[in-house]
Amino acid sequence: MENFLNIDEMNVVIDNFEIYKNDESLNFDDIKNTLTNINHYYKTDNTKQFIDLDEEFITKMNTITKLHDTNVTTLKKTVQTYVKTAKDVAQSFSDIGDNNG
Amino acid sequence: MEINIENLNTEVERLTILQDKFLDNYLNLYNLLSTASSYWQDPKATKFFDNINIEKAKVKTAYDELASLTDTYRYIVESYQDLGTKITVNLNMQDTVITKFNTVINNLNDIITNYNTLDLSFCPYEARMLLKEKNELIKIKNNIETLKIRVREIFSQIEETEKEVKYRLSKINIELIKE
Repeated sequence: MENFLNIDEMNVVIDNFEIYKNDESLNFDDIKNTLTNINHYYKTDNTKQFIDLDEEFITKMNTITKLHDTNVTTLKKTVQTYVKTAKDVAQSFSDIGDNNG
Repeated sequence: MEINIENLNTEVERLTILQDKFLDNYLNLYNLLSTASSYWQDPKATKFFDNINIEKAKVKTAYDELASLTDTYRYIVESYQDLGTKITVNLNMQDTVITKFNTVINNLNDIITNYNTLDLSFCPYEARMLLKEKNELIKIKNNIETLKIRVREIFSQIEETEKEVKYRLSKINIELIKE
């Protein structure tokens, strides 16, 4: 396999990912608030089951947020690594050129 | 039990909109990551994007779970909205309530029976007045009997709805994701 990273395109992906991730985070907050509020208006023997499911779902949303944080961190580190490697290689070639006079 | 149908409906409508946004965000994020796979290729990328596919399926499951919760709340609103904007009822009191209705109906029957035993042959004017009152009482008794049937139907409707809600909730299982 040929190792390859299109740095410019990947930076666009990262920027857009963070925008979508932010939208998702705001939406998750709204979902959490709505699930918390909704049970004020429905109080029966089934309410506890709803509350338990809502809490589990909120935990799941928090995990999804963390996974996306990890994803964007991975992409950023990958770009940083490729950029550094490219600089190091360029520097090495430059040093070789200097040594050969 | 207490149910505020009006406010519950408002929250359900809000949850439906948020559910749609969940799907939009899900599609935006994972379609974007799918395009990224053409910009990054090495052994780490293969592992990254394989994990993304697994993660994508789990997040889709989360959407389906939210949809199930929303559908259940919506079922509650649809089942109760014809009964009114607020419902406050103690289902354990159903037998007591019906018994009270029966007591009133039986008392009215006794009164009506008493009317029928009166000898009014010597007072025609009073007889007509009492007949009018008796007929009024019969109307009231019939209305109360109709009301009793309706109350029994409402209790039954509420019991069936809560039973169905319980069943639907038992089918929802939130699969937690390991980080």
